[in-house]
Amino acid sequence: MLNEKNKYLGYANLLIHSFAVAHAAVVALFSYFNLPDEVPLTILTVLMIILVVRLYKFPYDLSAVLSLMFCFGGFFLGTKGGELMSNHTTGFWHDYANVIVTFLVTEMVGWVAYLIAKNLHIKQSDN
Amino acid sequence: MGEIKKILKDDWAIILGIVFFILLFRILYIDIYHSLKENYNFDTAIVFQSFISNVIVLLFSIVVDIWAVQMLSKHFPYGKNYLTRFLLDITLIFIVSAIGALILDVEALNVFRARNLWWQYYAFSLLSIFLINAFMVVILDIAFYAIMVRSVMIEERVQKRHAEFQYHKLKEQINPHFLFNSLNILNYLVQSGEKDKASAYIKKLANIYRYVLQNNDEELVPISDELELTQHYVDLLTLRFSEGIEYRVQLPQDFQCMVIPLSLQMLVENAVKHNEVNKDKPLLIEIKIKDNKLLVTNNIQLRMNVNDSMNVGLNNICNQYLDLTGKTVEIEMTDTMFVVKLPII
Repeated sequence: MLNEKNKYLGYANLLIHSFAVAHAAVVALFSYFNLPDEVPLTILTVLMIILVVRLYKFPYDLSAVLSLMFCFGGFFLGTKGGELMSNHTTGFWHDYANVIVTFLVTEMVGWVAYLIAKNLHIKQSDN
Repeated sequence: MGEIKKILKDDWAIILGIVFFILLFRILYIDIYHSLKENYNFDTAIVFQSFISNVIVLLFSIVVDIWAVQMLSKHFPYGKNYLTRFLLDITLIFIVSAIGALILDVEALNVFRARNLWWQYYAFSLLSIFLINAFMVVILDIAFYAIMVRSVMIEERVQKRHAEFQYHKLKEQINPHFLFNSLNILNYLVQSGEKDKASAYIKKLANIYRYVLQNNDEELVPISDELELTQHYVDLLTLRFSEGIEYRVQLPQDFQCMVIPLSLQMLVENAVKHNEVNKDKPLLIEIKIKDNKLLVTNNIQLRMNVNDSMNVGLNNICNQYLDLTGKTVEIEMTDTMFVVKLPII
C-alpha cells in the first residue's frame, strides 16, 4: 500500500518516463532532419513539469517559475552534457550523445520536480 | 491516467498560457543571448565571475531578492493571483538584474562604450545576471512556500488535537459511569437519611458540571480554580471509596500559574481508573512543585482489567501542552510511582 505522499508515484513514473522518451525522440528526429528542436523541447519540458507538480496541487505560480528555471537549466545541462559526451566518446555513444543526455536530463528534471512537489504537498489544499 | 486527464481537462487554458509564455520568453532570451555572445564575442564566464566577486552587486541581489520574495509571498499568497505573481516575479528579477548589471564592472562598460558596444555589453550582462537572479528567486520562492506549507500543517495538527481534546472533554461531561456512580451514592445517602451529606454531594456535583460548562471554551484556567474542581471531584470519590483515597496538595500558599482546564481532574481520574482503591491499600495522589514543574503523582497498584483506551485523556493533555506552550509533559513510571510533570505556565 502506498501512503498518501507516494500515491501519485505511478502517475509520475508514467509521465516522466514518457516525456523523457518523447524528448529523446524529438532530439533524434529533429537532428536527423537538421531542424532546430528548441520549441518542441521547451513545450515538452514545461508540460512535463506542470503535469508532474500538479499531481500534488503545486500552485501554478510556483509551477511556472519552476518550469522556467528547469527549461533553462535543462537547456544548458543538455547542450553542455551533449558536447562533453560527444567529445569523450566514440561510436554509438558519440553518435547518440545528444539523445542520451537529453533522456537523462529530462529524467533528472522530472524527478527533481516530483520530489519538490511531493515534499511540499498540503493534503487538504485545493488551490 | 485519470488524474492526468483531469488536470489537462480542468486547467488546459492555464497550462497553455504558461507553455506559451515560457516558450516566447525562452526563444527571445536564447536568441538575444546567443546573438550577443556570438556577434560580439562576449564571455558568460567573465560576467558570472564579476558578479560573484563583486560584493556590492552580490549582496544587493541577495538582499533585494529575499526582501522582494518575502513581500510578494505576504501580499500575493501562493496559488492565488498566480498570473500577477508570476509576472511580478519576472519583473522583479529583471529590475534587480538591470540594476546589478549597471553597477557591475563599470570599467568594462567604459571599455565597451569606447568601442560603441555599451548597450550590447549591458544587455549581455543583464541577461547573464538574470539567470543567476532567476535561480535565486526560484530557490527563495520554494523555501518560502516550504515554510508556509509547514506552518499550515502545524496549524492543522494543532486544530485537530484541539478538536480531539474538546471531544474528549465533551465525552467526560456526560461520562455515564461517573454520573451513574454519583447518582447511586446520592440514592444511598437519601435512603439512609443523611440529608446534609446528600445536599453537600449534590452541590459538589453541580459545581463540577458548572465548572465544565463555564470553562469549556477556555484554553487555560488559573490553578486555584482547577484545584477547587479537583477537590470537589475527590470529595465525591471519597464518599464512594470511603478511606481508600488520600489526596494531598502541597503547593506554596501564594502559588499562581495556569493549567489546561480539567487537566488535574483528568489525571486524578486516570489514577483512580488505573489503580486499585481500598482501605487496606489506599491510593495516594499528590500535587506538588518540583524543579519548576507541577507534579501529579500516585502510587502504583494496578488493577487487573486496565483498559488501554484510558491513555487517550493523558495523550490529549500532553498534546494540548505541546501545542499551547511548546513544552512537553514528562511522564515517569517506576515500579512504585506514576508521575506526570506538567510545565508551569
